[in-house]
Amino acid sequence: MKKLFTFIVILVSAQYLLFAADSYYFQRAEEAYEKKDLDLCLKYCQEGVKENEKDGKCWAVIAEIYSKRAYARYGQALQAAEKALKTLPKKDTYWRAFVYNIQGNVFYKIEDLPSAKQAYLEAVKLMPDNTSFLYELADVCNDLKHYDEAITYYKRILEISPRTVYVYGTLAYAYYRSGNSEEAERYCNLTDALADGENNMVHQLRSKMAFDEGNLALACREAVTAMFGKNEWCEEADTLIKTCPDLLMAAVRNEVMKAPTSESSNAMAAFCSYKLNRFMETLYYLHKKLEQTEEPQNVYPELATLYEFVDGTEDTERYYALVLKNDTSALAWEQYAGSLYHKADFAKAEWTYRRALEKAPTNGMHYYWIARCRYQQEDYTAALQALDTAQVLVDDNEQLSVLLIRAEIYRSMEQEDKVKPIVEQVLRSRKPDDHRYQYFYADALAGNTDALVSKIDSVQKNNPENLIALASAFALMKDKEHVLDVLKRHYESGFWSTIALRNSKRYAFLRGDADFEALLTQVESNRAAQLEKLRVRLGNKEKQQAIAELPFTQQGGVCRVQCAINGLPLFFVFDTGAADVSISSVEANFMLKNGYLTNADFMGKQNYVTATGEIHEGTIINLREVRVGDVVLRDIKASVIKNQSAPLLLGQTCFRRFGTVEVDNNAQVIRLFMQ
Amino acid sequence: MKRILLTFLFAGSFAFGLMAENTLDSYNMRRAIDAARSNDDETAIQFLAKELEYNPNNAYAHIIVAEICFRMKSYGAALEYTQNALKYLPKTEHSERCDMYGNLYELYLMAKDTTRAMEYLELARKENPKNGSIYNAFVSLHEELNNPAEVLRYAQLYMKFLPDNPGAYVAMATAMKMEERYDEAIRFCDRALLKAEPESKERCIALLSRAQLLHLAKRPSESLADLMQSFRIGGWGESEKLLGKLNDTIPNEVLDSLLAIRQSDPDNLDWLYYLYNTYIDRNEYANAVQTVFEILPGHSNGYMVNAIASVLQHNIGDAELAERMLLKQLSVDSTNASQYILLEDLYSQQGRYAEAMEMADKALLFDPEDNQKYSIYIMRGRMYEYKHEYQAAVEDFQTCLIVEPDEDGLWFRIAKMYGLMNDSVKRAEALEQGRQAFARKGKNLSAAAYVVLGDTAAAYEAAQGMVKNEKSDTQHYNKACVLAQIGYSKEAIEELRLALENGFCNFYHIAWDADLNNLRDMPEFVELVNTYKQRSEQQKADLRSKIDTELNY
Repeated sequence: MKKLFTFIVILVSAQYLLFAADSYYFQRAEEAYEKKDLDLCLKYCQEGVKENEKDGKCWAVIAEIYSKRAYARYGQALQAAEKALKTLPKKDTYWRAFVYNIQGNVFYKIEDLPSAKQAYLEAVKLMPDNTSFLYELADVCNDLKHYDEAITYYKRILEISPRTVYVYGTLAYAYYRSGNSEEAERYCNLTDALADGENNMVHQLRSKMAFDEGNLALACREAVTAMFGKNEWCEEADTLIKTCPDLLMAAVRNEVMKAPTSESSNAMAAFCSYKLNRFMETLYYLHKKLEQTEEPQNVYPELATLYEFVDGTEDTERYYALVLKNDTSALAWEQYAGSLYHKADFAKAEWTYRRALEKAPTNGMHYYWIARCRYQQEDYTAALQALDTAQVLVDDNEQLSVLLIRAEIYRSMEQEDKVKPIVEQVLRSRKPDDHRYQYFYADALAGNTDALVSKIDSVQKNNPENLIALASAFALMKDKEHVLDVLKRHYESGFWSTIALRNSKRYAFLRGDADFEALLTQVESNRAAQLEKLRVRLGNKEKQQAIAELPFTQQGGVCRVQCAINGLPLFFVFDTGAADVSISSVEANFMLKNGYLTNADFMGKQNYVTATGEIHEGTIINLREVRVGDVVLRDIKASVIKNQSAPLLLGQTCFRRFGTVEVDNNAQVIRLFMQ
Repeated sequence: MKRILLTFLFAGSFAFGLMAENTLDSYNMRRAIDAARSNDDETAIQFLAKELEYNPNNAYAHIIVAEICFRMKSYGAALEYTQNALKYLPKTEHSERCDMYGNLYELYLMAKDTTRAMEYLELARKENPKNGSIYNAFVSLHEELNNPAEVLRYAQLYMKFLPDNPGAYVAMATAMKMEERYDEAIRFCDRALLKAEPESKERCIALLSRAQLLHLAKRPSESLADLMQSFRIGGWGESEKLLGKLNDTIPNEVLDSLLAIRQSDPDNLDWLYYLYNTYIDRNEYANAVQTVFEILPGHSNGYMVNAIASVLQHNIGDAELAERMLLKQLSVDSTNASQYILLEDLYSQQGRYAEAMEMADKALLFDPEDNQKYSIYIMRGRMYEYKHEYQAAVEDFQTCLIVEPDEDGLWFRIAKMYGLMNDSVKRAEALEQGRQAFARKGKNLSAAAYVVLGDTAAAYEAAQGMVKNEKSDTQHYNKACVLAQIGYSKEAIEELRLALENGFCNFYHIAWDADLNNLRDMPEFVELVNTYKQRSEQQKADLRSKIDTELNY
């Protein structure tokens, strides 16, 4: 028996029959690999090559593991691959191709594309029908702009596996990049026809092509369709957001209307409108998302933040209260503290930052913010103390903020001798391509007005969210003219908040200034109108959508409503727990005899579990017309219960045609809202 | 190409001598076929999956899965299973292989890849050269590609293999038609008719083809006779366009023919839409309404109700009856966007903005088509414009652009809004986009665009080409609007008179439309409008006396 088993094993491993049997260590490594324990797998392979330096498979696996991003030991991976290729028999095409592919992957990761291409070519030469190798090769050709070759390899994949629909899309891209729009369009059409709905890549490409043609509306529509399809932002939208933000927003509005009650659709719409700085619309879509979601705790932080953006202080408080009910992490406290700082409640903000510190005592930025709270309250000593701790704890990126606020505090303390070295240190460290907004403050503290002025247009165009930092930098310099100019641009870009400006120390010099006040008052008045509009829109929406109202009566603890089935008025028990509409055999017989039902309406039988757990058999019928209030529903599945005293139930087959069903006990009506 | 599933599922027996794994007799295959026959695709797929698990090379299982995928419009999967079927079908199974290549032809045709489609059609032909439908497909494909020589070649082959098939003669007629040899083409149709069974689909097709040819040969009366015969056998199908053309040439004969059909076959309501349209083309609105009203008690036809409501509002001026009809229709079916859109229009024209806005919101809830969405937003945008809420108007017009990205004129409307908002930068951007949109299509700017640009001379010149159909009330009306805006008041009044003369009866719209503001103080304008208003009142009264509005509305 044992012999037979061995024989079978050898037969099954026919492809390796020609070569030496797998070593013990390789076998153990294989087991570990299957269990996804890569460290153990690596260990066994290392043992394997220690025992036998010519164990090519072990070298191959070492190369594979080192080539992974988690290990990223690319040099060692290449060395192992070399050794594998030297030791693996020439006839072992499978393993040799595998190793060449690893080599290709490593070269690709270290951006040596010509070598990657060469390695992939070797892999493909050995296994010409392996679509994964072909795909890698085609991709690298694409990156090298060797489009004709890429196209050849993509087409080869399609010959081998015609259903790999994404390859049609990739081919379309390759043709587009090679300047052959006609073929690109042809492959877009093929993807449309064959992709079975998964053609977001084509929408993205069409967006690019439309943009090239100058058809911005089409470009926006296609980009948004792609984004909603894959539920993530796409690079085409980055271009469009700068060129035609209004149209992009219109495309979002149009897209969300295709599935107005879908959580993901509203979430995507909220995300897009946020990217477009349409914060009122973001709020609207977040509320819609909140209505649909089963996990409201995930939406509360978003709503809290957005209300903070538009100075909706009461709502901000309300949603942070809900956030903290579910989440008392450092991040939740930190965000709440941020909102308190924003509305100038500095003492409470500091207290809240300290709560965050309890959860994350080594987070230096919490000390930074405590310092800022103290600074706003003009307690400079305490502020500087907190900054000392912050400076020790924060990472290199955050040092910039800590240093600059320290300089600002020294400026307020009129200790100019301490300001200068800090600013010089910061400006010395600035690299030419580093456009972080913190450097605005460095320029401001150094008095570089021209440098700041030269940035206004580009910041407005590329990073409008940084305009407020730029305005604050001018404020540090007490440059009213530029503060007002930049603030106007900031508000034109879709921002609404004024609270911080009214309370920040930086803007103290403008308090009482007529122009500054006029600007803020104007923004506040527009904001109030917009918030009111939003409230009306959210408040009225349900009323607008309620398409039917059913009066009901309470009898024996149940709601009874009147509906008409195929024209026959009947009283039903309103029962959202019932799976479908059910009528008793008495009514069914009556309806059949009097022509309200025909034989064609009977569809078959179905077993039923009642609320008491009993199983009953029922006949299934099709109700051609169910009139619920003013709404007519067609083709509703219903059951006839073989029980003469069975109540008539109005259940889910009817109600799931509506989005929401609301029972108003005071008005004694059931309201039905459309999906 | 005819779908092959039916042949496959209902064929009693199969050519055997196949490889063992190609079977229809296994338990799973039988269950799958039973389920597929009763259109229970889900069950069929379950059994086919089981079959393929045990017998992955069963070509027939792949064929049926492919077919079901076609039916479910899952074309990627259909492609894969068709390819698999071809892989496992023995080379001797020509008929099935031909069908599979036919599948591939259809898939690529659908993807507008005619080169690939042609290649597969050729392979299908190679497998089964006697299959006439392949040649028919070749003829259609080359006709679409405008290759007369190829159409002729394949039509001849069609006839060679299937000399008794009337379709082959129709194909020959198509080839002759493409070479403008209409008399010969007609003779081929004559022969097709001789071959075709009475009352058959082939006869219907041959009659329709001959009707088209007779029209091209400028023999409209004979063309009409064939068209009516074809209609009697198989309904209208693709004959609508031809009827429209004949209506332009011999309108009275068309009307008489339709009335005769109505008389001879009153229960078949297919004539209704055409008769209605014919009356509309003749500007005989009252007759159109009367025709529909006569059948409405017995047939609830939402589409016709909408059409009539629109005519009542725009061409008879009876907005009250239009509203009643639409509200009544809503009580029958409250989930149709069209009625809400028409009510949005009606209320907006009457200045009942709150109600119109409500209708727009409701229409949007009921999953409107793109063209309907366009109407909803354009009307709402215009309402905002009228209420001086320009930003909201811009947003709606932009959404219209998203729905119809090639609607170049919209950019100028948006530019106009920005102009009213004194936003010169955005106005300039919108104008530039508008110019580019026209340029992309190689078109000159429209008259309305020149109006927004303030180029009076160009607007006047472009306006001269606005009326393409002298009988079209709306074309005259639109021209009047352009002329009024650029100060050609007298000519504008004349165009408005032509619009009213040709049936424009929407006095609410005239009163509301800001484009006509330059004319409002002119006595001629007031007199003209009043005269036609009186005529409209009379028309309304006449219609009401003829139709039984109480019956339904």
